[in-house]
Amino acid sequence: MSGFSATLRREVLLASRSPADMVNPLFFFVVVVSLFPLAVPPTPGLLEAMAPGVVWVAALLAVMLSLDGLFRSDEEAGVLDQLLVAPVELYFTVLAKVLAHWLLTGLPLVLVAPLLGYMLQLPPEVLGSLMLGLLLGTPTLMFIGAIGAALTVALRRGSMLLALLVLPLYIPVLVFGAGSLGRALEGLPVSPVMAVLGAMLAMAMSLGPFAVALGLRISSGD
Amino acid sequence: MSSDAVSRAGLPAHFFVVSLSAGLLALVTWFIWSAPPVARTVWLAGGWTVGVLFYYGALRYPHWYWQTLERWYHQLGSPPHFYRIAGLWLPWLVIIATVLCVVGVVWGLAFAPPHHEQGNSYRIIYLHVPASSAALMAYVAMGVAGLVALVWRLKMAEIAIKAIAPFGAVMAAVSLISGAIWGRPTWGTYWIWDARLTSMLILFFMYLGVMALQNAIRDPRQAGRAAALLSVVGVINVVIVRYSVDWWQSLHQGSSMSMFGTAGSAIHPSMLAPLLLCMFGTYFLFAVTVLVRARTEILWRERKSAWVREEVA
Repeated sequence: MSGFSATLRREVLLASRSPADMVNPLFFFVVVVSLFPLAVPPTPGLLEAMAPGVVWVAALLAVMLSLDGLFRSDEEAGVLDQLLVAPVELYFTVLAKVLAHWLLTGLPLVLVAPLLGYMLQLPPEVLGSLMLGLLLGTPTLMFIGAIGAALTVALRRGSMLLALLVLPLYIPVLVFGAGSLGRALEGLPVSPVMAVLGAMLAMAMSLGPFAVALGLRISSGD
Repeated sequence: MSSDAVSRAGLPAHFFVVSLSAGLLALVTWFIWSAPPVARTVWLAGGWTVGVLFYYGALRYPHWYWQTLERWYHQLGSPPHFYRIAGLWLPWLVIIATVLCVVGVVWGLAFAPPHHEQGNSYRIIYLHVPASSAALMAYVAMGVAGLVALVWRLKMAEIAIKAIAPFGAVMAAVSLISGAIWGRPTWGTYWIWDARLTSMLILFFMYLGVMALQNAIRDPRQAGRAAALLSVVGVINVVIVRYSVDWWQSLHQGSSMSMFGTAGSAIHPSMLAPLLLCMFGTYFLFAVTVLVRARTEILWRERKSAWVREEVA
């Protein structure tokens, strides 16, 4: 586990040296969501009906765009090759990296979500469901997307390809994530949907790093 | 899959064969159970006959089975051998595929009775259902090949993925387009966000993803392994997408209209027989396409080797 804590510490330290990388996805998320009220006719109730889809698609895109840099700087600096031959299990290194990435770029999305919900005229009683759904959903998106990031890390123009590979894999999370908020808006209990989101998170968090580690080994020409 | 590799993993060879076939039987049974009753009986009887025979043989003559498996593994895993064996099989496969497709299509379009509600417009089923089932089947095949490519690093499995992906993408596209054409007169719309339609669209996107990843990576071995990983992840995703979209449907609207009156109702044998012929014909078409593409790919990859020079000269 020494690899895990060391990687976690390293990632947080690196991020604290360049705070802009943390802020950009958050900024993207806020800007994209605030575009919708400008583009949609001001029919009462329309924004509220669209809100689950808008917030979740924006969060999903923010996560996806932030993923391109997940392994790229390490790859360019040669750190990735070091990690591959390091005497610690790559699984834990990857787990730590993705978790740190979520703490620095995913968690801010969750924290700013109530503000955006307020902007989209959501009733205050569903903001809890919105946050809980994003809290369970965004790390799942990170772990799934990390597989694509690992496979495209060595490619010149990998970000477009990353989108093509990862977006179809995001659909289940999107369906249940937006569904949880939709149910909350209809006044239905959200716990079953949250349970499914939690199950997806458990699966992505436990199996994802295996696939990511394999993808990194493939990308490094192993 | 060499026996020492399996025993290194601490598994006796028989256990491997038996568990693999048992898993396959269970999976196939589960799939067949959702088919219409007549087809279900045919499939189940055939599948279990083959399965029981295989079991009996595997338990009665384990060594012979194991040696055969190992011989296949070595021969089909080596490109020159595969090239030769595929070349021997191809003419027969082409004949079978042609006969099945021609007989099935002519029977379905000209001799099967018209549908009592849809008249003749239902006849697109003879294109639509085989294409849909082949698109799904091809992705599962790609996933299995991907697993083999990742675990045993077989070059042939990587070539198989490269050969399967375009076929699957085309089949998914044919399924979507023919479904839209069929949907217009029957449902009154080219497209609805129904679970099956949505899943097929996602499947099409995932085929494109595999092909794009394969084309983006210069080194063929690396491209093959990357595509293999994506195929395996994709198979898991296809299953989850199907159920999640179903769930989303049930939340947002009532179930969509089904094809033949009530959902899961029987399709009459006079319509089913040509449909089964068309389906099997499409599976053989799959085999032909994949073998031809794989042979071409082998020639290209081994273009500097002596045996290819002899073959081409």
